[in-house]
Amino acid sequence: MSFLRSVAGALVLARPLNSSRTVQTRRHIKRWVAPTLRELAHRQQKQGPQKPEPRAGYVEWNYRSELFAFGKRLGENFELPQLQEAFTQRSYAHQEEEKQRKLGIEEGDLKIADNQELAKMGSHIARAYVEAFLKQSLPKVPKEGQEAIASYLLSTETLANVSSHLGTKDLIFTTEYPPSPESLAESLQAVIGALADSSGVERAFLFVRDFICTQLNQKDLLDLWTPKQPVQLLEEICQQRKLGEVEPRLLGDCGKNTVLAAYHVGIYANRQLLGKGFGEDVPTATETAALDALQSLFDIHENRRPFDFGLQVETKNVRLGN
Amino acid sequence: MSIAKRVQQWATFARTWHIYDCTWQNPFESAALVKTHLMGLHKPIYHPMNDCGDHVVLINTKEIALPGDEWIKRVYFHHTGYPGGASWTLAWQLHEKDPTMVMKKAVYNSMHGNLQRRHTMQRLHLFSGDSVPDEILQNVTNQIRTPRTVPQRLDHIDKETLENFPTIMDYPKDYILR
Repeated sequence: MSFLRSVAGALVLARPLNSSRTVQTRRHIKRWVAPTLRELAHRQQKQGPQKPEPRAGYVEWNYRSELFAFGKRLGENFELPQLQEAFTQRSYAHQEEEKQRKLGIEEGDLKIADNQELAKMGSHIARAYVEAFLKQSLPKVPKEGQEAIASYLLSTETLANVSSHLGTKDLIFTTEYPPSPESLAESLQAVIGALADSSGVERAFLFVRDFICTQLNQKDLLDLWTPKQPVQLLEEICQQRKLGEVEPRLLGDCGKNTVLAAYHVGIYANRQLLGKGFGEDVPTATETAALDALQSLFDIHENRRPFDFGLQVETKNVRLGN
Repeated sequence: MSIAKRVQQWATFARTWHIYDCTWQNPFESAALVKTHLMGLHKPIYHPMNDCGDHVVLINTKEIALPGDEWIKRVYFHHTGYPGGASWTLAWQLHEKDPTMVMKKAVYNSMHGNLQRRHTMQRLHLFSGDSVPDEILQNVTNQIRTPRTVPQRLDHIDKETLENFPTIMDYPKDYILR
């Protein structure tokens, strides 16, 4: 558009210079410019937004140096073939093999390594380390809660988010562009696997801690895991820890006969206040009070000490299994 | 949003019901106090565009005490809108007609005249005496402290207490009490 306008401007300016007559610049814009611009805008609008173009399509794209830079950015030493394998999705490998087969290349040369094996290994390492990390940082949370938090950290969305922010979008070999969340997540797992192969499993653990466990920062843990029946759970916990019988008491209420009624309930055990909660009716308030008490007992309150991400989980505490 | 966050919001925006006894109180001094609660000015979340006001129940409005000679000097103006429709009513006359009106107008006039004022006034519940319907009284959870203490009136003290009250001197036998 602006190009056209400038062309028109140039035409306007160019005329008088060529002629040796009296110097008179034209100050108007040609009558054809506006309708042309309008038509072009109309066509562009009709066509819709452009599809995202892969960076690899450009001439000066150097995949090898990008791959190298990826490792260096993260401060890790990858073996490049391993890393390239980690970024090759199975669908892409199949597609390439098909292409080569069509060209008549023999079976022996067709094998393109994909990241399935690495991803499997990586996901195994990530799960093992995240579980060990949670066990160490949230020791009072029951197993069920730790599992829920771990499953959030290892979910496809979280991993895909981490992966895309590490800049894997243009490195992944997939059939679709931009890569789907699944392939982003899978390639991150494969990167972890490749790191374990290249620099040892300890280094991979630190990678998981620094990039996956840190996703817990400033998260409300109640969003990740809410006990289903808090009152019953609190009763069980109090029985286990011998805190006494759980007893909800009304601390206050306002606007009882209105639609905006609010109740304030405190949960007591053995005359000690465990937690307080609000609600639009007494059962809800009791439930939230129980949740509040559980949050204090499990040390997952909003105002808890922040997670220590410098924490070193000892390798012997990480249960890699098989 | 977790359930804890939801009920936190609910509790933050809960409307409290206050009660205020107008006996022997200056309506204009009280109005400033009542207005604070009505508009939610006392809350940290207050903002003019934030609907966070409380309810206030005013009782014993017929017992208000206007300062000085306000009862005879204060005039309430009303205009019907028709020619010759203006009327001026003295405070004592208005109080005789409706014992809640002086208090109501005091609160109404203490607030800025904007679109919100009439909605805020809806949260003010006035009662001339001390009998409040149970449905309203059950909502009340707070009493606003009155700025003036109510003095005890001599004619409300029972006869026995008065007779047994220690005296600093005795009247002579032949002294005639009128």
